Amino acid sequence: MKDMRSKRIIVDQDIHMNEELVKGYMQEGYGVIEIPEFSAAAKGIAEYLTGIMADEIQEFLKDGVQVIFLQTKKDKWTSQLMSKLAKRKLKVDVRELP
Amino acid sequence: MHSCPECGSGDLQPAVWSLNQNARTPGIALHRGVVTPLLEILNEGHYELMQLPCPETSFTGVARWWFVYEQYDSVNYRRHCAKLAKATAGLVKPYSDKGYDVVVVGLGISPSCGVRMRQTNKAWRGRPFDVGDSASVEKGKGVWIQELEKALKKQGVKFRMLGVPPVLLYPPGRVPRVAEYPSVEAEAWKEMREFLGA
Repeated sequence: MKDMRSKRIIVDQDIHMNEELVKGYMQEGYGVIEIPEFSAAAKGIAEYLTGIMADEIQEFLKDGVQVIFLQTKKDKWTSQLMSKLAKRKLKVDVRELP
Repeated sequence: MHSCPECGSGDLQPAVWSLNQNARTPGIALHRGVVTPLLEILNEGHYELMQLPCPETSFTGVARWWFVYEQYDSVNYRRHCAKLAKATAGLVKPYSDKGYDVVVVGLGISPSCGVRMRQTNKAWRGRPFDVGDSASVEKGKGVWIQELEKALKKQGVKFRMLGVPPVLLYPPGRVPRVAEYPSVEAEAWKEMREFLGA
C-alpha cells in the first residue's frame, strides 16, 4: 500500500499573512493546520475548538508526524493552542516569525 | 456571488483534508500535504479559507482503518460530529451575517465528508480482512457533513456545498464509475471552477 502522506505539518494562524513562507512549506509537501480567527465567535467556541485541534495534533505526534508552529508575538490563539499541548507534555517545533 | 459586500473578499469552508492530506486514512491520499490545485482555484476565486476540523482524526486517530458509512454512523461518533458542527457553525455565523457566500467543500465519497455519495459496505466488521481497492458507494452525505448541515441551518447560516469528485482525490482503483461525478480529471476541475466562479 503506497502512502503519499508527507507526515509533516505546519500550524499557522494566517496563511495570507505568511503567504510566501507557507508556499515554501507547501512545496516541500507540508500539510497545513490553520488556526481560525476566533475573535468574532461566541465565548467558549475558541476553548472547545482549540481543544479539538490539540487532540488532532496529539494524534499526529503519536503517529510520528513532524509538527512545526509558525508563531508571531501577537498570535493569541496559537499561544493558547501551544499552551494546551504543553499541559499534555507534548513537544512541537516552533518557528518564531517577526 | 461569493464575495463579501463590505470588503470584497470571499469566504470558504474547506474540510481539513484539502489543506492537510496527513489527516486522511493511510493508503488513499494522492497528495503529500496540501491539495495545491484546489488551493489555486480557491485563490483565483478570491476565497478566504476556514479549515474545518477533522472529526475522524480527533475521534479515531491517524492510524485508523478505512471505514465505511455504517461504521461511522454510531451514536458517539455522531454526537462528536454534532458538537463540533455546532461550534463550527458558530464560527461561520458572523461571516454569513455579513453577507459572505459560504461554501462547504466536502471530500469525494468519504463516509464522513461526502456530499453527493459515501462509501458503504454492511459486511465491513469483525476480523480485519483485505477489502480490495474498489469502493462500494451509495447516494447520500457523510456523517460529519450531515451534522454540519443541520448545525448551519439551525444557526441561520446561508451556505452552498461542493463535493469534490473522487477522481481528484482517490487512487484510480477506488474511483467509482457513477453518474454523480465526472470520471475524467479535466472535467472534474472544470466542474469545480464553474461552481466556485474561478
